[in-house]
This record gives sequence, C-alpha cells and structure tokens, in this order.
Amino acid sequence: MAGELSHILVPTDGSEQALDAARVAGHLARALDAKVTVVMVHPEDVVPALAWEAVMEVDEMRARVESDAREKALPDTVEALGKLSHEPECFQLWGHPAEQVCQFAEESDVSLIVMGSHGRSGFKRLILGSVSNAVVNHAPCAVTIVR
Amino acid sequence: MSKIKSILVATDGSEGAIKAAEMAGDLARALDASVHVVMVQSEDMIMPHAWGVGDYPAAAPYGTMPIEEVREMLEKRVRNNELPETASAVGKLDKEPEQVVIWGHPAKEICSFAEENDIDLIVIGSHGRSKIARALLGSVSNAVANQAPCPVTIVR
Repeated sequence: MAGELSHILVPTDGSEQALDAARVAGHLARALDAKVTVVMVHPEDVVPALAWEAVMEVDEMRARVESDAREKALPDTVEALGKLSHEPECFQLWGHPAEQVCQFAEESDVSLIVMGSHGRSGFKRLILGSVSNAVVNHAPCAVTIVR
Repeated sequence: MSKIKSILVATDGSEGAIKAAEMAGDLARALDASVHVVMVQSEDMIMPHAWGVGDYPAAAPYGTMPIEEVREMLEKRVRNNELPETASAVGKLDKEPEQVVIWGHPAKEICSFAEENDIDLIVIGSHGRSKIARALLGSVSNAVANQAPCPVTIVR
C-alpha cells in the first residue's frame, strides 16, 4: 500500500483555499516522497461571455485565460507546495472542473487528490463547494479536503 | 500550515474503514504521526438490543436486558472486534494506535473528538456499513467532510 501513495494531484483555481490545500499537499508529498501534479481547469462556458465583454475573439480570450493562469494561479500554487524532490508538473484543462479533475486522476494514476473545501465561488453558505463535492463523490482515488 | 502529527481513523469495522485504516497507517508512518482509532456507536442501537431484537445472542429472543448492561455488552463487542481489527489494519507504528469508543451521533462525535484532541487529519472510508450502495458518499463520511475542523481524507 505504501508504494501506492506516489502521485498527488492538486486541482487549483488560484484561490486562497487552493493555496492552503497546496501547502498540505506539499507537506504530504515530502513525507511520502510523492510526485505532485497541479491542474487548473477552466470552465469552457464562461469564455464566450468574457470574450464578448472584452470585445475579443473567443480564441484570443482562451489564450488570455491560459496565459493569466501561467502567470499567477499556477506559479502561486507551485510556490505554496514548497520545496519538493520531484519538480511539480502543471497542466491547464478546459471543461467541467470536477469531471476533468476526476478524468485526469484516472488517466494519470493519481493516488491522492488534495483540494480546498471551497474555490473561488462566493457561495460561502455552501458547506462544501460544488467542485469539491463532485470530486469527492466521483474520484477514482482518495481525496483530502482541506479547509 | 502546521504539520500533521495526529491522525484520526473513523471506523465502523466495515471494509471501507479497513481500507481507510491501511491508508492512515501509511500516512502515519510517512509523517511520523500518532493514530487514534475511533468508533462511534449510535445510542439508537441500545433499545432494540435491550428488547432482544438485536443480533447479539445474549439478548435472547423475547429476553430483556437492563440498558446499562446492553451498553456495556455493545462496548465490549466493539473493543474486542472492530477496534482491534481496524488498529491491526493501520499496521506497525512506533506508538500503538489509541482505541476509542464514543456513544452518540457518528459524524458529530468524530468532529468534536478531532477538535478536542487536536487531530490534524481525519481519514475515513467513503462508505460504511450501511447498505445504501447507490449513495455516492456515505452519510457519515459526507457529514464529516463537511463539518470537520481539520483536513479530511476520504478513501475509496
């Protein structure tokens, strides 16, 4: 069993909660000597609206969303992980966040997903955020919820 | 972020709890953390046993038992079965896992035990004994994930 905890997935949206989760993931990864992968999923459906608002082509908007993530959310998350013996890998995916996270975990032999209880969404009254809730329910592996 | 030094494994003796205990053991060895194995017994179990409709032979059919005796009997059963089975699934640790029985509402008691005992991580199976397999996440695991004072690892 010990050998199985070798790949930790940290889904991020760059929120404070996601960074807290990354700190816990880093702590676990150091103890387990596990590899860490950071993924950021961009929901496809907001792009046309964002592009419309910014008077931009949809493709241009997608590229901007990705470059913004490369500049801020992803490096912030990597920094929160702290020093690791294996350089963390970062990926950006498009689609339904929970679905993409679970699919990625399945395809990449992830042994543990570490994520915040809430993301960016302002629905503080929700006890568990919708993405975290869906991931906990559908993940192919163990999930650690950090609050 | 503070380091994870104390891990709680919630158990009901089910297969899911045993898997959770195995993972908690791996984490505890890697983190050099201590482990508490906690089983919460619902008070709801007491009356049926007292009236002899439980699954324990001592409460024979049509027999009645004083409530205190039923409580003791059920607690003893947990101490002899579920707790040691879960502790052995945790595996070898520098310090033996502490085994705890609590009476009350499972999710509520797990969360308050975690709070009072400075637990840094709760490890729990996605499903317990309940047969409602269609539920994506068992009700206790769901409530603990929602209300715990610390990170929660849900094992499936």
